[in-house]
Amino acid sequence: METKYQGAARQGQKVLIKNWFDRLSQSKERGEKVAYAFVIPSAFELLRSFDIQVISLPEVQSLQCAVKKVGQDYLAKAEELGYSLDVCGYVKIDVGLLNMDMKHPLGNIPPPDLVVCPTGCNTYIKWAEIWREYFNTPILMLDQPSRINAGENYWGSSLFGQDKRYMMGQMEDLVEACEQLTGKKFDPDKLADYEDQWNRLSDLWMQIKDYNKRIPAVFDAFEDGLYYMGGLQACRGNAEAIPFLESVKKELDERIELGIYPVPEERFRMFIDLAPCWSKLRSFIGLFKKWEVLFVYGTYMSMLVEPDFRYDTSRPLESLAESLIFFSHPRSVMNIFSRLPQTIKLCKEYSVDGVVLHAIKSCRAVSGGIVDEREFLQREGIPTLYLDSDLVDARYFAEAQFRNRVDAFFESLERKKYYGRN
Amino acid sequence: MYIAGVDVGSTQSKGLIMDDERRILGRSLLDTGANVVKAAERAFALALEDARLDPGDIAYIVGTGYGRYKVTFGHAQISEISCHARGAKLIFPDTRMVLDIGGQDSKAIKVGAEGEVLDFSMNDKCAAGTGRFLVMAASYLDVPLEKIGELSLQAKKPVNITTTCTVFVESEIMSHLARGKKAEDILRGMHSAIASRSISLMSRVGIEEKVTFTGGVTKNIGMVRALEEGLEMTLNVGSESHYMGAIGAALFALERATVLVV
Repeated sequence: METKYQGAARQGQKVLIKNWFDRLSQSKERGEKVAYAFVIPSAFELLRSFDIQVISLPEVQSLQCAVKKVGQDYLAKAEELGYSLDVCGYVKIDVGLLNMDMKHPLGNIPPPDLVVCPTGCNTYIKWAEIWREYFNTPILMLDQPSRINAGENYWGSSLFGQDKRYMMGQMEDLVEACEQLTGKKFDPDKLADYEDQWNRLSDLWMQIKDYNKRIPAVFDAFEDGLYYMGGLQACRGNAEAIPFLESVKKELDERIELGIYPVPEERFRMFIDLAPCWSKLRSFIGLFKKWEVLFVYGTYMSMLVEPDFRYDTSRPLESLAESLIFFSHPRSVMNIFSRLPQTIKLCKEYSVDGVVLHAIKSCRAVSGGIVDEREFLQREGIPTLYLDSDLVDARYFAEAQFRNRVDAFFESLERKKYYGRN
Repeated sequence: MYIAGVDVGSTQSKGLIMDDERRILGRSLLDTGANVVKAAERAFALALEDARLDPGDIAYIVGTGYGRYKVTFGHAQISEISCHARGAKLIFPDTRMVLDIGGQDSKAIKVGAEGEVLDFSMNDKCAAGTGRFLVMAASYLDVPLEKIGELSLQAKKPVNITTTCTVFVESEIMSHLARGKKAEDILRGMHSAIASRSISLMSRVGIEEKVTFTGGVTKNIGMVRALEEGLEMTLNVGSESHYMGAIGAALFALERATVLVV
């Protein structure tokens, strides 16, 4: 059979990223408004409904700097300015960018006309303060209620109703800010259209993730999954989005048909919790090659889409307010106690042999409970490999030590899995 | 049948020759230096010489340690975590936990009934609390490295050392010296600081009796005593402790060579 789709998704992703940065670089010339928002959650659909074409997502841009091997220069710049080693690496790369004329390796990033800052991550607030200082741009805070103790009965409760009213008030403020910025009137139907597109993208993304529940799995969560996620981020709210994810699906279907799998002999199926050190991604992946490991799932693949949340397009603004409550602290990656049951469930669904836990030096918010997580998973009989470095700062990455841990872990796992010995 | 284990550590390299009855026939110990491949070759050659054997007599060689992939003449490479566990179990059969303090890192390894690794934890990239810390302490205090352990046991008023950072400890030592503190009291404090950090590392995987202490730092009696005091138990430690990685590597070599022969 002639192959039609192999490599198409990855190629498509590159085009999407290029288009995204072209839009960013040319936005001011085109007279387009620019909003800076964060990855989770961003009120993305509302901003798009006002034709705010270009939305800068700083976490993604910092990650790209690290992958493109320029992150260290920006980190150094931020440290020159007095930012300490402990400050979030994503923030510091962004500060470096701010002080180096926003020259990103993929294109220039324009200054914002509006900043939308949710409270899902406590660092966001300080990050937005930095932007305010640099750009003198209005910051619109979205204070998300985080009912950690609310329990399962929260949804539909009177407390939820109260939180929703609180969030709706903020949505109305955001609508007003967008109206003032763009001179356009809020159009609920247009918002519903964007929400509908996101719902369809969410369904497609869930279907794509499901391919890796198969044995053997169909794609590598790093080598492929990361590209798919990048494409999804880059084209969200644009016409290219749905065709892109459909092309991913076609490619994966063809892989199954042709029997093309990422690791010819899938010896170990692993889950990675949190993110690797992006600036050392190649070295990190290389450590596992010897053991014929396939990463079938990663926490970052859960970041944007929740299986049990879709917008209700019959009441678009209200549904957007609900999404901001849904994606708040109690359900986010920041909350170790909500993450644990989810991780156990995913381990079972994806038939993994173990979990790689990667603690992040400059993000104690997500890494703080990782040792407890390790103990919990081990009690559940799930082998864990604990590694620690940083999201972006290569100075924390010690390849020889990582190799030691990786080899020792798989030496033990191999004996158990393949030789039935302890 | 003869087999070999070659442990190329960050600071020192060890070679060890064993027969199929698991008797140690020869061994070697040398500084690794800048040429890791050469250090591995030399460790093997010296161990062979000690055992009065030729390279052709050796059925299987396993490399371990940081430089294990530089043991280019080896048949296989196995991490020192697995090797220390396996070696400790042979020399001290009651081993349930291994604490290995080497030149640049330290590891706590929980060991199963057959010498298998059940769990482990390691220091991160920073070499705080490792052998390097003691080397620097000896240098700052102008005491030969091999004497610091014994000297620390003569402490009358141990000082409290607040850091295990190899860099920051210099200023702390200097400030204690400036206040007239004695070298033995400072050294005792330093040994206690490493012991405390090591015990914390062990606690992460759960301290199990009995603990076998391995690695180059086992030669330091002050460190052995500080750990025993902190753990409130006696440690398994002996003349083979420094070679535990190479012993474990040789045991893996024996296991694999036996499979090949059968």
